[in-house]
Amino acid sequence: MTGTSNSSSVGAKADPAERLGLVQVGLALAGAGVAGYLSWTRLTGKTPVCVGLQGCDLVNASRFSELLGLPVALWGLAAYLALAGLGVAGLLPGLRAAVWVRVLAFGLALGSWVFSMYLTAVEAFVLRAWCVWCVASAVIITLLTAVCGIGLFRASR
Amino acid sequence: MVARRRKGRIPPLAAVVVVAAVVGAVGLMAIQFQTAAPPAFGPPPPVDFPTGLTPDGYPYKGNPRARVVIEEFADFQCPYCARYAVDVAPKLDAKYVKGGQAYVVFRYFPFIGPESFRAAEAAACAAEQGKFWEYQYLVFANQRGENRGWLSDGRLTDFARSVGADVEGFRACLASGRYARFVAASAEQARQRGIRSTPTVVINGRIFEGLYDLGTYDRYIEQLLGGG
Repeated sequence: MTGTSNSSSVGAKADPAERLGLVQVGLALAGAGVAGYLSWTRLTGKTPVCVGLQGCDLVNASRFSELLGLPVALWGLAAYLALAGLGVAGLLPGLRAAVWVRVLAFGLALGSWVFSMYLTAVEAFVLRAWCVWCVASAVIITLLTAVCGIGLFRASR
Repeated sequence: MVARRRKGRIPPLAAVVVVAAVVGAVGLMAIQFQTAAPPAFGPPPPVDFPTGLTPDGYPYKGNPRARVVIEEFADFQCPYCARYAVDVAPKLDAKYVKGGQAYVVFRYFPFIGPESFRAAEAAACAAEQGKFWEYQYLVFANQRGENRGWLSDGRLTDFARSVGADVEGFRACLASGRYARFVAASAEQARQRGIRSTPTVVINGRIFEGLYDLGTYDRYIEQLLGGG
């Protein structure tokens, strides 16, 4: 009698889908850390610690740091936490094969990436100043979007 | 033969979700850009408080007897100064200057390049006609980088026209160069006081070097007024 593909022997490594899900959660939590720090500095009136690029205070004090009355960093934090949640959901046994989890994750990541690229363009061409934390977030969301896209593609095969 | 359902097939509605997310992001971008980007040559906020020149020739606004004295050291090419002038100062004006609780003096501190000095001279010419605060707002709101030839005499004159200054008088003032020494001396005096960068805002002697969040200035002023 052959074993089913659902059985796992003791000590087996995570399958590729699981690894991808863990990467998604990891990246989303890293992004949430960055966005959380920027949200905290914004809400407490502090200036972010700037390492390397020295435009943090200008970028985070600019009009472009707000959206619909709330700091952009807070919107980012919410998106990253949602992506982390969707990543965790995709690891649960009951939802591993659920394409909808991946569709939502990819949609949210892609929309966030589009907005992040717009903010990066604002830094480059309007403010002419760079915030290292914003650049880090742009890199993270780019990687996250790719991971979510790969996850959706694999789930659909 | 058992029909096998294709595992994990993406429903067509999924494309709608993804497209909706992108459209939503683009929509938010448009909303933010509309509300965030300052209009070129757009109207400055109303100057509905006393203004004038101090005995030593610096533009002021507010009540000279106010408990809170704010000195603003700025360079017209400094982007951080622009954020202060456009995003922070109008809110402080509405809350403290208009009500007579704060007195603000502008100290010219040009240092970034020749256009900084020229813009400071132009602002002094506008101050001569009682149009300083509107003028400085327009110059800051319409920055386009540093030392790129943006602040030409022609553009500086356009700003004067936009605030309703007498253009011929302004042109003559700028061409005469009569404020060149004054703004250079202003920068030197600032250095001697220990001012090292812009924007620097000094509130009742306490130095705020660099750009801070509105809340930081607000809380300190409240503290000085006895409310914090």
